[in-house]
Amino acid sequence: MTRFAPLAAAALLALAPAVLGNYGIGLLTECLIFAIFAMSLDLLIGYTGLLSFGHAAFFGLSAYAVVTLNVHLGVNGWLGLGAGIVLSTMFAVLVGAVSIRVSGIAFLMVTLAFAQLVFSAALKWRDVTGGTDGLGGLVRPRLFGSSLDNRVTMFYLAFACLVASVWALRRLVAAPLGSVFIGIKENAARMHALGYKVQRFRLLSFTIAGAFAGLAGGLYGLFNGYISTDALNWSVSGDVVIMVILGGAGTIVGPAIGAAIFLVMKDVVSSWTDHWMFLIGAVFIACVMVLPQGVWGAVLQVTGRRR
Amino acid sequence: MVTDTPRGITRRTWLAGAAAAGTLPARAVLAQSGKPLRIGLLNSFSGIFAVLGEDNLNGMSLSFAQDDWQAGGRHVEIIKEDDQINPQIGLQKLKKLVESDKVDMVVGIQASNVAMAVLDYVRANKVFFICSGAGTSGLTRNPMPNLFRTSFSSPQASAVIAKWVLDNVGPETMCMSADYAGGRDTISEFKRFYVKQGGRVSKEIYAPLGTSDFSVYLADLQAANGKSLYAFYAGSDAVRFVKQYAEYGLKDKIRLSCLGFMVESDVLPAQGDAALGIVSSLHYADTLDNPANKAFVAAYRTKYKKFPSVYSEYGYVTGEVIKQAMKTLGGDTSQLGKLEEAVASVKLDAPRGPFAFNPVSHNPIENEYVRVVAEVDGRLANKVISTTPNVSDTALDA
Amino acid sequence: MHFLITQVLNGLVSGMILFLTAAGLSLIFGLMNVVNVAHGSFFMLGAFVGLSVQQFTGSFWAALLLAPLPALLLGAVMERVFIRPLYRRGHLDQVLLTFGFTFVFVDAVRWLWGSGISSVSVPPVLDGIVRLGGIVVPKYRLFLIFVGLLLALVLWLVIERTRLGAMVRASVDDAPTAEGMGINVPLLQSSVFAAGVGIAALGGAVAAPIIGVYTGMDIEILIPAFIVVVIGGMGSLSGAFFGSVFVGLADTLGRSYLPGLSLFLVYVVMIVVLLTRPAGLFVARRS
Repeated sequence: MTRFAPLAAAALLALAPAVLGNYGIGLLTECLIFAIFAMSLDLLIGYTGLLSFGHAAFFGLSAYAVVTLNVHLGVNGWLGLGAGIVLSTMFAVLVGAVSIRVSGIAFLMVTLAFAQLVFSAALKWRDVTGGTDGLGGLVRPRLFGSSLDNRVTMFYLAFACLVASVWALRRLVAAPLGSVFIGIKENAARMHALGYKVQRFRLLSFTIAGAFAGLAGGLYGLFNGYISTDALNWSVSGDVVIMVILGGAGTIVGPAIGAAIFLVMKDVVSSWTDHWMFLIGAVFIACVMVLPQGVWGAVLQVTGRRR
Repeated sequence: MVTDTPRGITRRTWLAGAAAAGTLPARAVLAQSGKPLRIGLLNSFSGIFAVLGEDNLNGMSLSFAQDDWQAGGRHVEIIKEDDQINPQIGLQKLKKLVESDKVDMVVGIQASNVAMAVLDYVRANKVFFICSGAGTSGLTRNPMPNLFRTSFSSPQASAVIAKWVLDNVGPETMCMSADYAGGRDTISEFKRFYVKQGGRVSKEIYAPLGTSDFSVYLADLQAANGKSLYAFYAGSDAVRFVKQYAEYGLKDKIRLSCLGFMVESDVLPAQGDAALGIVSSLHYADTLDNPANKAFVAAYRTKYKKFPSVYSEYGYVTGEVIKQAMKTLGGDTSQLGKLEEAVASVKLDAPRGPFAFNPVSHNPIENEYVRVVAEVDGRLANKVISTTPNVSDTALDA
Repeated sequence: MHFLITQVLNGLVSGMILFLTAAGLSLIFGLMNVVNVAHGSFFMLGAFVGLSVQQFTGSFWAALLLAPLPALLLGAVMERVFIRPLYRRGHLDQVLLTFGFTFVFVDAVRWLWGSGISSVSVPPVLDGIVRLGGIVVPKYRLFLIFVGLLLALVLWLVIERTRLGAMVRASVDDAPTAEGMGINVPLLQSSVFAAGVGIAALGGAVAAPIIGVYTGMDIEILIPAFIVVVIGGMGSLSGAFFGSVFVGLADTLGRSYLPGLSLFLVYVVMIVVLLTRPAGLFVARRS
């Protein structure tokens, strides 16, 4: 029965555009994109034990690549997406190689510092990025003859990417490589003693996470058609950490659920009341106190399943 | 009534308030369209622009409340959304207003980055949008029939203050602003006019965004030995900058001038005496001596227990523009062409003075005032020292 | 030369503002291993409380004196009720919890005080400028440097020279052993947390005449304070002090002499420091 639950959930999600209006589809698409983003970070936080606080850099770089290449040079969005993922992956190799030399809070701060450097560069390089005013005017590419301007097409693109990401990350975590990551998280010294080159695996994990964040960022660029420095702000890195913990670190689906809860709260609750900040804060506090494993972690616990 | 609360109106009480107003006995007979006129108000209600957004909303609701929330026989509803000064969120909220709430038009947007971000969407989806805030000239560079602006376009105010500095302070000045698109643009506009008329800019300082202590740069100014500084800051930066400028004793040494936003009534009380004597240009001052302004200030003070700011006036004028256009149309907003025509032909004796739209760019044509911060009737306010009538956004391009 | 000295003084001022926030942050981390993201919120709270006290009493000194009280109280409650159950649960949960509190605080402050910016005027005695040779320094800035140094001295004396300080040091080094020696570690933790956020509140009140009072000042101080703490060495008071002075000076001189790179400088410095001395620049290496 539970084997089919993921399939059922995916099928339900795939049917969503049939019942949702244009706005609802857009909101859901954003949730799917941030779900990929949050899942990529969870590979670091939940599986490899690396608390990165600069994940917005990889997301933002790729989004910038898609928009700037198209607006300034007329590069097709698909090429831009590819370029964005490559760029994010390469940058992740660089940042990873430097930051894995330290751990704990120092790691958190080094990744934050790198992200802030990217943010500052985007702020300074106004000719290309538009600085705080940002850059718009992206011409969206077509998918199977239908332009991504169509909300439904964009939704299915994000949906397909999410499904592929879930599948890939599940495979990864279940594979020997995943066990190595988890082993490093639980006890790095032991893994080292067993002969694993711990730092290499950490770097690999960081790079894979950067690549998936790049995928999410590129999709976001295509989806929004506009990018500004706000996408690189440290608060975005903070938001995605929150999504991971809220949903449940160390689970595949948890961060995706965390992303959805977070975005719906931010977008929908802020339309209801001026005191949305208070509500969001209270929900975070309540979650930490009552659901230490995150929302999905709690669900798994109740249903008696292991991650 | 709920709508009288200046702060903390939730969207729901807001709608309820508007609805209550609509059921008053004075209500006009329903026009042919019958449906309420739904106005999506997108502005910054959190972060450093929160007060600006609130002032804007207050001014607009004062205008509508004066006609019992009726416009062209339709009952007016405002649906309020907070863009949090974040373009990504602003775009998201705009989609919500247009696609989910199905509003007839969108007004607001103080933050220039949010305004620029929504431009593509506004164009592609033919959203009828009246900008009642951001003055960035890029917004109307490629005019569209569904985009109007009731506030200003930045070159208007810059040209007037540039001329004043040249004539009254001297042919050499220093410039300073925060290092972001809006700040750089404002300085470069000032420079364009100032240099064209024979002035010279001897020093430019751009402090990174988020600088809270300007002492580093004030020391630089002190060492530079200039006589004049043209600066641009807004919100909390404006308060800090003006106070620290006085703290370092620069006020008496280097004449400070700016765009009027730096010393508007949202920041003036916090700046206090440090702001005395600062000269600025703007298209409004709450001390303006004309009947429309006197009535506006009196009504605003009665309703909100404080003086209006230029942002309140933008909101008020936006309300008046919508009311007048709706009257012309008999409440029928179904045809974009007619709606554009009706709004474009609006002429007002606004609190800021005579108001009309430039038929091409849809920016306002309005007076520009040079003002100085002084004590007026026991409070700090901007006193008008000269008026340049009917300044258009394009008249200065030649 | 005058210019350089002026900028060094400016750097010290910003260093002292940083120290007032970083001191508590560092102690709280050192003693409880808690990453308190809400620390900036107490800085903001102190500024707003100080503002109200000054409006009510007309006295700047009363404002300084009373500003830390609500923070002390709230800090103690927050530690008891919310943070204590989380000690064993690691940094992630603490980050989420205290991040939640930053939202709650900001909204509460907006609700109580509105979202505009206010300013605090300095008492007449500290108003105006002092000329030292050719250098112009506002009196209040000298006062601020004095407050920072005084607080550093007092904290150092308390921690290094008193019985209470000895207990804190023992608990930082090894909490279980300290507990075994009869030290009431939980009480100590509550007290240090409350004192730490109380100092931050004092910092907000002292900084208010320079940077103003507004919602958003909480976040603006938080990241620089964290940078100070990691550069100086987490958990160390002297690290927080020298880290603050170092960051204040580096930032100020960078802005002055390398304006194009000033945005990048502090972060580059932080990366280099963390890679070469991960425990912090100003921490004596322990075996």
